Amino acid sequence: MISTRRQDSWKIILLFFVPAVLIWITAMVIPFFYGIWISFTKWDGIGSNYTLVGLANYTKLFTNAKFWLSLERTAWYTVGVVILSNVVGLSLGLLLTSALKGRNLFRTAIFIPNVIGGVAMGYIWKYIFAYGVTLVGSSLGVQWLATSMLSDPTKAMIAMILVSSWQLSAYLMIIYVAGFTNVPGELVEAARVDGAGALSVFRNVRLPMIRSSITICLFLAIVRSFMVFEVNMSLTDGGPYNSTELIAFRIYNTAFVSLKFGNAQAQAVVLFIIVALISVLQAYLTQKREVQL
Amino acid sequence: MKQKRAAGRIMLAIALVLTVFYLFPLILMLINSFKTTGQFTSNPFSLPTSLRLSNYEQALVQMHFFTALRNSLVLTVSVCAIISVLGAMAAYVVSRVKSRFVSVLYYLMIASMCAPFQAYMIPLVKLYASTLGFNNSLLPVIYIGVGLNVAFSIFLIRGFLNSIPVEIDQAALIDGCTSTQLFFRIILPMLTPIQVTLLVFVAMGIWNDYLLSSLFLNTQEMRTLPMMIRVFCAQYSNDYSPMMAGLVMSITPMLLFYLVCQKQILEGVVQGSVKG
Repeated sequence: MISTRRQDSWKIILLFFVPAVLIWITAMVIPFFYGIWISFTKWDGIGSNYTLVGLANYTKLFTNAKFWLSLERTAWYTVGVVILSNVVGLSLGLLLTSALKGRNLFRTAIFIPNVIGGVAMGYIWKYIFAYGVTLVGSSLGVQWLATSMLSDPTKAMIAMILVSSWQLSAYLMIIYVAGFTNVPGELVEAARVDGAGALSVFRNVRLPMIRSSITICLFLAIVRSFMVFEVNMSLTDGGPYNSTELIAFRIYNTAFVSLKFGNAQAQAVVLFIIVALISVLQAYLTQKREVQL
Repeated sequence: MKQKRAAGRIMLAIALVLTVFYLFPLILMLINSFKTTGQFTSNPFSLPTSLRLSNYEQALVQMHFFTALRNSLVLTVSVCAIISVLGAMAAYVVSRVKSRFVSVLYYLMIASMCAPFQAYMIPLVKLYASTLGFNNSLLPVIYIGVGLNVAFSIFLIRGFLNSIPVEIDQAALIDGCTSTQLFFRIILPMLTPIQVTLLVFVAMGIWNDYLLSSLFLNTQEMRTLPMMIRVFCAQYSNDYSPMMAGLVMSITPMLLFYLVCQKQILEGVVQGSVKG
């Protein structure tokens, strides 16, 4: 389009497109394939001493109960976060697209937890759980909250889910707001004129119209939960007794604390496969819907 | 009408309560940054009796706040500067040049955006730190930061470019522009709105990143803010008040940035979400 001559378009490809591609290849593609190779080696430590062990890292993983437990925990965590953050995010989106005074101000304020990085966020909440929540628990006489949630395995996991959902729901809210804003006003009006109540308008008009936003938010929450790292590190540090060590954090620890790089990389490849399958499923569902429309 | 107004009030009240709920950890942090550690542990909800600034002084020194701030700034500004030019150039080719080579690579780049960072975290350390010897330097972090964000930037800018009519390009070419002049003099300036959206979004991610930086930076002089928070909170694990002050200081730059660029950040969230 720029030029009819082939030679010219190659020149511009080389000059404008190839630099970006080269950085992408050296920062993502090569490391990715090199990573697959590392997962077939036994490589521990900083030196360059490694031995090729074939599939041993993978066969060891499949019999490693701790690895499965970490995956299972991640799955439970994901279920909790996906449900909670989407229910809350969707409700917030609905509330903040209604005729409400100062709704832009509310959106801006509620989004703020997402501006603060995961590390800071985790620490802030850690202190709140340790001293704030316990104080509320003991003064209200709620035994369940009187001791720090972070020192009990189940409660620590709930704390992880709460903090992550608190942050993510505000993020999803913005996407849901965009979705609700795109619902044509006439459609809602027409339904009202036909005698539909608020609940019916929501269920039969608004909800079907934001289906693509729901798909986006569900998958965003799933993928984010599977890859959660920073909050895991700063809020619970995987504890108590490794009971909240989720898969991404476990990979990090296996590699940089235990210095078992081959083993960690095999886990990373498994995580990659899980996330890739989820993404393929999302692409498939989105495409199928587009065909239907 | 009356009923409607009452409903409006109730919704306003709900929205207010929710806003407080979303902000209260930050408010608590701010309040407690002015108290002593003893006052914090006995009652985190009490208001400070005086404006104790010694927590801030202590945090400023022990966190090496300004060193960390400088490192974070250098990292974020560098990545954004490179991304904005490189991404726009590549997006321009994707949008304007019909070539199978380009479109195949473009879709591969889009697909690569879904890969979890953990999948190439270890090889990155091995390649850039061990093999190429980039130890304790911001350079590999900047370079990889660009590499991880380049696909997203091309995706976002390409969408915007597709809405700019090709006739503009053609007119400029007829007037005797070379392709390079056309891009830098005419196209690039038109991209400002989408560049702002892209850059504030990328900046937020890089500024708050812990994992990537922690792989390459390991001395106090090189640490970024999120790394410094981690070290500070682990080292002084029982002295909470200075820690609160440190946390307040470390999130303030990003908070100010957000208040200025909120429109673009929220725009970036929406545009970024449809990439899948």
